[in-house]
Amino acid sequence: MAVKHFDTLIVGSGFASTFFLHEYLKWAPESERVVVLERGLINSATPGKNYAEAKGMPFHKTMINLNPSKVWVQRLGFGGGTCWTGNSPRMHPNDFRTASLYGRGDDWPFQYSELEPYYCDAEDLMGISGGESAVFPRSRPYPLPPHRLNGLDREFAKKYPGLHFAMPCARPSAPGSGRAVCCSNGVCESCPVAAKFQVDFHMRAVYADPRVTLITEANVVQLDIQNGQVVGALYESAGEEHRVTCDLAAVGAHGIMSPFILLKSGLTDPALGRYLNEQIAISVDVLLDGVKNYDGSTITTGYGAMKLDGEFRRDHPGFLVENWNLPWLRAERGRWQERGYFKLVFEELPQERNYVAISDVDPSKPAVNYVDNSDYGKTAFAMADSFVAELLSGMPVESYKVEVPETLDGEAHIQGTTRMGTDPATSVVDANQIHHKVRNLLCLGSGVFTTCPAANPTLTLSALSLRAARKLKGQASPV
Amino acid sequence: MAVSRRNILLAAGAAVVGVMTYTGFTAKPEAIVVSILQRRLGYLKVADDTFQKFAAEYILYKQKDAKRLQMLALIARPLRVVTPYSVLPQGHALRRLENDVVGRFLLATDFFQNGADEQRRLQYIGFFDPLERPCSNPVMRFANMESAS
Ligand SMILES: Cc1cc2nc3c(=O)[nH]c(=O)nc-3n(C[C@H](O)[C@H](O)[C@H](O)COP(=O)(O)OP(=O)(O)OC[C@H]3O[C@@H](n4cnc5c(N)ncnc54)[C@H](O)[C@@H]3O)c2cc1C
Ligand code: SF4
Repeated sequence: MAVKHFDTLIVGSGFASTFFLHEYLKWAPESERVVVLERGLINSATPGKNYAEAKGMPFHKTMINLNPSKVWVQRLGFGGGTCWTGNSPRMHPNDFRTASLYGRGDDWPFQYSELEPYYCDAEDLMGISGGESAVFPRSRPYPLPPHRLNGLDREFAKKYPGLHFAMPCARPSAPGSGRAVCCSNGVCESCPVAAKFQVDFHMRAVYADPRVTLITEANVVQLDIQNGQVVGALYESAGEEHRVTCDLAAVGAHGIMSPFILLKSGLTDPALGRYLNEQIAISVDVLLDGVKNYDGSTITTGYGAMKLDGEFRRDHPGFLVENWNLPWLRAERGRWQERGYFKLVFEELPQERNYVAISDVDPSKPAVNYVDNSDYGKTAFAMADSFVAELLSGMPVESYKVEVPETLDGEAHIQGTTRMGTDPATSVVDANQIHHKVRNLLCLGSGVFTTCPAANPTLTLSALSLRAARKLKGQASPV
Repeated sequence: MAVSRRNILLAAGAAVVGVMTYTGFTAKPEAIVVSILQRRLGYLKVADDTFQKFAAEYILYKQKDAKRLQMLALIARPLRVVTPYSVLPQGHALRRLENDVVGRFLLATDFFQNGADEQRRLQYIGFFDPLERPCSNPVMRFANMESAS
């Protein structure tokens, strides 16, 4: 079979790849030819039960997990993590320089102000609902107003003025995004009214561009690298091997598969596959005293920044509060709504010992070995009771139960493994997400995160993709 | 053979185990759901078969837990009268079950739509499963709405 040539090859069709492609096409000529190779299928069922049941390939079967106490969750298919919940906070400005400020982790190769305009663009594309907050300086308002807080949120907001506000999210709070308004169904993994932003529903237009060829069920096995340049890729489809050639490659196959593909391609960077990380979390079930809850307008209504940043980060991790609004009632007469549930999501320190490699047992799969959380991260669990007691002191609370996971658990955020930085000994790509040595290869997605902030990663990785495409095309930042 | 105290105790124990096993096999998991609803919400005005109807839908929805619920049906009768709920630790499985059954039942009716009025006759709308019946969360409020009463 003839090998087809494309100017650009993109691996994966999730947030990282699609936001990159969207921006890239803005600056590419009419003659540009881009191929997107996507391992999974297009879920063409209508939103709701049928869509939920068309689950696709089981994620755990695509890897050898050497420490099953740690759970990795993701969806494989066109649009990538379409099952995401849609919480879209930015990283805190100080998350970009934790080494300088607190002697923890590493500094990112640029600061918040550099990413800020791209955050705005990504928020516009996703139609994010959110409000003003001094914690996250912004140059443009959110496209949609904030969601309504619930009863427990309002108590937090009273206690922590300016530090507890509506969770920025990709679930519309009002008309204006071209999608349905979120009605708090609470089953966002397959939103039955297609309110939540998803690449497969809401960015299909990118793939309708005549310059783009999308090939699904194309499992990229390796890139062909010659003389320090990517020249093509090998992929499998329906049990057969295929090749494409290209002048540029961008790999956005998430933090487990991207490093695996690069390792299979013969790259040997010391940091490649290493520093695998994600946040750690505890949850709290709280019985309220006289506070009617669950009257917010979406699945997670509140975002608490009261312990997100501060000098204390020298000693223990900062965390965000994620307040849920699922109607988990209580059985007591007249007190049905006097209950709440929130999570504390902690930052972590990426560690070299947690890694993705080529499996010895089955070299067609990545071996994933998350050995353990860091000692720094573990203080989150050790101090969980005191954090929660402080948060809830003076609030109308009857009792509460802190749930600390018994296993390493998982937050469904795969980060690290193709880190961004200036030192090739501890990073894989530079500040523009270009591989330190193979200069026509980009890594996309949260694999490039230098550290592991408390924030959910998707907004940041999408903003990074927009930035990477602009930088590549030599364009100035958006205004 | 002399009938010793030990043998009587053994026979009694065996009888209890036998009855429990028999009941365990024959009990319907719906029984535990109906018991919880009768004790917790028996004072509400509902059509006669509503608890049964909900219980059947609840068990269908919780198919994965059907065995566990069937075992719990052993305590369905006493649970109609009394519950250890308030002395159990928060998060205990039985507390969770009671919260879930009562909560899901109320969400399946027009109870909250009508201001949680205990005097009103309750209409059963349909099982609360947002994938089947989207936008039916009766306690949520849209961003532009007034607070819940
Ligand atoms: C249940 C759940 C809830 C979540 N909620 C949130 C949330 O509220 N907020 C948030 O910020 N994040 C959330 N996330 C995380 C979010 O889904 C990810 O951050 C996001 O999907 C990452 O985007 P990505 O493009 O880097 O990777 P993905 O979305 O995983 O896309 C990677 C793509 O690459 C494809 N691929 C993989 N291997 C190959 C290969 N060898 N060849 C070709 N293609 C390949 C995959 O099929 C996929 O399409 C959640 C995740 C889950 C599972
Ligand atoms: S809360 Fe409900 S309506 Fe809103 S995005 Fe999630 S599933 Fe969709």
